[in-house]
Amino acid sequence: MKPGIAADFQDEPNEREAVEAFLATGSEAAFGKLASALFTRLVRYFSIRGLDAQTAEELAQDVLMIIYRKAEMLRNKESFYGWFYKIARNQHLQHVRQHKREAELVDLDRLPPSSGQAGETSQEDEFFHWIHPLEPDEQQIMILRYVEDLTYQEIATALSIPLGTVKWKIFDAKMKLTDILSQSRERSM
Amino acid sequence: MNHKYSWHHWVDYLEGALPEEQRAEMEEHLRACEECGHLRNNVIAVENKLQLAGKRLRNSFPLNQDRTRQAVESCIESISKTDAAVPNSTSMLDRLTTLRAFMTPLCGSGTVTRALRAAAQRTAVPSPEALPEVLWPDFMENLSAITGVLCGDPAAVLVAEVGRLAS
Repeated sequence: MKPGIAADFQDEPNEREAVEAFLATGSEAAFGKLASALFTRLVRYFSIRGLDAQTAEELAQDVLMIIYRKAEMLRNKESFYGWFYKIARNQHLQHVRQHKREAELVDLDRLPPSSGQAGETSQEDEFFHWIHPLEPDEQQIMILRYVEDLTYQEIATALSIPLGTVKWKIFDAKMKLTDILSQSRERSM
Repeated sequence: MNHKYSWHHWVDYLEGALPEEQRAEMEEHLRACEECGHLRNNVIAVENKLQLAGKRLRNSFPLNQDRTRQAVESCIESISKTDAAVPNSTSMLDRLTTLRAFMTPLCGSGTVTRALRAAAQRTAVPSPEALPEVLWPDFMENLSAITGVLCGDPAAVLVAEVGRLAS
């Protein structure tokens, strides 16, 4: 592949089209567009999980390279986003393990301490404020659902858990948040 | 769940996936049952808040064109180097040597060669020597699975551990 393919970079690439074109052709030009389209999504994914900007960008590049290498092995093209987030999650896990001696104590699902604390919340922090009462694994699923905008099936693929479990966890999380909302309304009345 | 509807019903109802007849039946119940109707309204309110807050967070990471362009070009350059069969880093070759040294007494040298080659192919690289560092975890996962088939589960576990320590 020749450097400079990213000259095909588009200002606002249509992400789904870029994914379809790359999976259909596997061409260098298609990869350039795909990488441009997914890069911000990946940086966001790692940044939300507490990584600094430089590390987030490095991991994003690693994920894109893996996608380029392994796209042919993706049998079901419909499950691209689930597969994509599974790779991102694995890269994150690998990074955390490399940087922590006590790898067995790593809880990948736990969000960074700055997220969702009490007090004033900016518009960006509002989501973390909402999901703060949930368990770490529920928080991760809610991020994939409401921030990354994945379907239930894509979340199941990304986390390697059954579809029914995803549905239950999201439903259960919403029930918990509904209780909290009701309680806060009752208190304010 | 509440009254005669299970959580499956609720999920399908809230996602608009319930068949029309069942949906109409459930809505009739929600109109008649104050408790369930109240619950529906509150869940929808939570859903709306999550969607709005999620969208705001999503949009708070704007596309930085220059950084994106640099990152994509850097990525493509790395791929080009691997495609051009640039000799692998010493550390990666050392890892393979360590694996070979460990696996040979367990599985035999011929089996080890075949297992390493098969694991590389399943990782979508032409040979173990061409393996980029970023694919090491995937390669080890494949190698461990192949070792399990060829030499048994205890060997697979040991190989996975050696691969982890080698990295």
